[in-house]
Amino acid sequence: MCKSLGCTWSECYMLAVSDLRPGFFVRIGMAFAAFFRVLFSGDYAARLRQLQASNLAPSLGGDEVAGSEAQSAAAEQPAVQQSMAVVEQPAVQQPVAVVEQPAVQQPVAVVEQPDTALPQSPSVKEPAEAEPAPAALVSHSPAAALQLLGLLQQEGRLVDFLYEDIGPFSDADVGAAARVVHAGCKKALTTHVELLPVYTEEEGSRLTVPEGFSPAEVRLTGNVVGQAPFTGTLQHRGWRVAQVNLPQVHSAHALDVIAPAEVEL
Amino acid sequence: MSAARYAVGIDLGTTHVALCHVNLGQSEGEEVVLGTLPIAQVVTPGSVEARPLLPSFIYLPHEQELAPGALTLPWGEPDGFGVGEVARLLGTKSALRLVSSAKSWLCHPGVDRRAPLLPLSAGQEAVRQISPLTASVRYLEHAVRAFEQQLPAAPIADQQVTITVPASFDPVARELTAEAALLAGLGHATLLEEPQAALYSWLQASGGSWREHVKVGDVLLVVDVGGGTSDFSLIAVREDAGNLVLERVAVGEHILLGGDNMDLALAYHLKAQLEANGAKALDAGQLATLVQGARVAKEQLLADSSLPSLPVVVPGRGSRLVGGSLRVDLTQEDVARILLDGFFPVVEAQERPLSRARAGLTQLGLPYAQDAAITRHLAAFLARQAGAVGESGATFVHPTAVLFNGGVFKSRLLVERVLETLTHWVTGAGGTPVRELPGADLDLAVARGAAYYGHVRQGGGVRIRGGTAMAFYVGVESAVPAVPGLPPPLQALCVAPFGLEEGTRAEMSEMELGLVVGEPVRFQFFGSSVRRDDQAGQLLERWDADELQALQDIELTLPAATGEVVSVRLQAGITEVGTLELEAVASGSGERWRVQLDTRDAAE
Repeated sequence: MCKSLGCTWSECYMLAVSDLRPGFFVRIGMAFAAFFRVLFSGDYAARLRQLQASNLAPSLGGDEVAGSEAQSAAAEQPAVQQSMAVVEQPAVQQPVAVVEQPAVQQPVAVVEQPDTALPQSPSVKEPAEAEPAPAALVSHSPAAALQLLGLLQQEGRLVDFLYEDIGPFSDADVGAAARVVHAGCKKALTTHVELLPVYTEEEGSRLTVPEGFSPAEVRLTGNVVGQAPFTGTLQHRGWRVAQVNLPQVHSAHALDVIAPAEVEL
Repeated sequence: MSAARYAVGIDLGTTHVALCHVNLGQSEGEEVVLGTLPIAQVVTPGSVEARPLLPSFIYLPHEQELAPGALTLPWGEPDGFGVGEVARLLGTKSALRLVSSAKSWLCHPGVDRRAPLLPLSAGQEAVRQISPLTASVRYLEHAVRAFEQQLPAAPIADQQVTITVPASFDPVARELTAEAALLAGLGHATLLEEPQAALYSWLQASGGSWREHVKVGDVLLVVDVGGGTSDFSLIAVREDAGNLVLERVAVGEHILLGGDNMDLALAYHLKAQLEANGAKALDAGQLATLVQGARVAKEQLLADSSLPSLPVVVPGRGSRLVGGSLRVDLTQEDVARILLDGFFPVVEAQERPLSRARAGLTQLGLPYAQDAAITRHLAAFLARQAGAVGESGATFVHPTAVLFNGGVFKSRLLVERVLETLTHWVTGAGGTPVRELPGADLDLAVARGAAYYGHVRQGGGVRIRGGTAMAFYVGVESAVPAVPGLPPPLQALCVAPFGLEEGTRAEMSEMELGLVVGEPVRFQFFGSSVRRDDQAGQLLERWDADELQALQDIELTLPAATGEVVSVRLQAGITEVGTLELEAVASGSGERWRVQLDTRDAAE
């Protein structure tokens, strides 16, 4: 139960969403921003994981742990606040020097444990117990992130799109621009990053997660109880980067200039 | 050359360069180990990436335009120019500094191809210019470095290198290409006609099964529509000692018309629509985006005829994307009307390309085709070459099968339109329907075929016979009493017969020419792609206007030491490289001087 409003979590979520649900094209922007924050910010990814765990397992109880990434309890942070955070803090403002986990290690496939597969248990296993210890935290160079951002801007005008106030425009106008962004970013992404699904099975199909599976690749949700192998329904196929082919850059090249200003003579 | 480990094929295209290689040690007969080599290039200032194709563009930046090192390649920094993707990219916004279509200039007889004249529009401004020859050298140098970067143990000058040229390239353009190869450090690279290269690629890809697709008596038509040029060739399938033999019997004229024209036509249609809807005039950068967008939309529409239309969006140049974008729809109907009916109309076999009279003053420029209808050019080619395969009475060649080459034929609609049109002509004249040779690699066939040809030259696989696709003539003034106001009638002395093979020489002409030493002597020079039976030494007194095509004048300078007037005879040969060589042989001493095919002051 939600302690502040006295309703169930799903009701609270719905309530909040119905008040603040953003429009479709705002959500496109949010989705882009969220993608990069997940990619470049370990903090954000960890919070998002908690958020997903809390949404997908609404019956879980627990303490308020908002913002505490080191702990792996199911987050009580309301969904809306998480979404709001995306809007308030655009991804590009995140200091890129504190990228904490390469994207390839982010767990992305979601396999939901069926409700009926195993008896309900009050002591629920947490989905992600393999958080690295604080001593193992490392910072990666922002160079590759800047390079990818530059490519997405150059091919798909991504930064222009995210930084434009799209409020006054009609959906048709935003849609026309979204085509530029979609086509260009897709080209940039498919050219430079080879993405493969973690599972090639159809979403919605039943599958077995074997013993010794990688929690980074497969996230178990729902009634996560018992021992591997787990059987469940594939909710999301996940994405895994098979290969990254970023261009070589000259040592003197200013990577922090995502797009140079243009002055026509 | 005996130490060659690889046969290297370079497709030196009008719009792209591609690089392939065959590992000679691991290849035997028709089983070859063939690979494409990606070409590292600067893609945006400061960043380098390997791509399968190198766009044939050179950008000559202002000295303060780019950051130091912005054009640095894995093998070092070029001296003030960028080649490939970065050039194409920068050129969309500063066309003044962009060199493009250098290859078309290389075979433009109206200009001095060694003179710095590109970019053409830079003439009035203080912008550095380079010659068409230098541009070709730059592309080849880039390909050389890309090869050596990937295979450092194999110096390219030791490899069996083949460079492709349009079948319609004149002797001077061939010679300049061979010279560019030498200057680029390629050694004596061999030249191969692009349509032949496409056929070699098809032969190689079939892995020997090509013999099931063709039979004795077949006439294969290669329709090669590249980015900037269209090239046709006819190859006859004959029999020799029980083996199938391929012989290239005719090539078409140089037609400056290609896939880029089609994308431009669509883009101009969309531009007109945008401007009719009240958009401001598009600038060059936006037009480039529109061309790009039109190309992508066209490919999707051609691939899926159930799509009624696709939007093409041109973003504004500023950082405002949503407010500044223009949107226009490209419809299935537009594509059918502009591409199919504009470039591949269904025409009758007797139709010919329309040619408009040129305006009185024409700007110096490329001789672009005036009629965009490729099918009409094809009809003209087949009719002109009616005698090529010895059919009696037919008014045009009846091809039996077609090999397509070039990215535009990824569209089945265009392939089928060409096949339908050819079948309509041939069956109308009592022939059988024309079939398609299946399984062509439309983008890389020329480079792959060139690499395979290097292997064939070393004794593996079937070689396409052919020799020169033209007979060559020197203009000689008749010795008749002068009539005031009338130039003396001109005769044409055949110096090289049709089909002269590589590495052979024609008969020496018996006619002796008296030449003054110490000063350049110029001759008119002609080629004919239809007079197949003239022998070297034959003197033509009359010919039909369209039989002989005037080529650039040729020039001979004899050293002053040999006397005042020397009588010489002319002898032509085709070098191993594939270029035409014309020599003057002194009647007395037997001393030889080379006749310059490329007269430098042609533009003066």
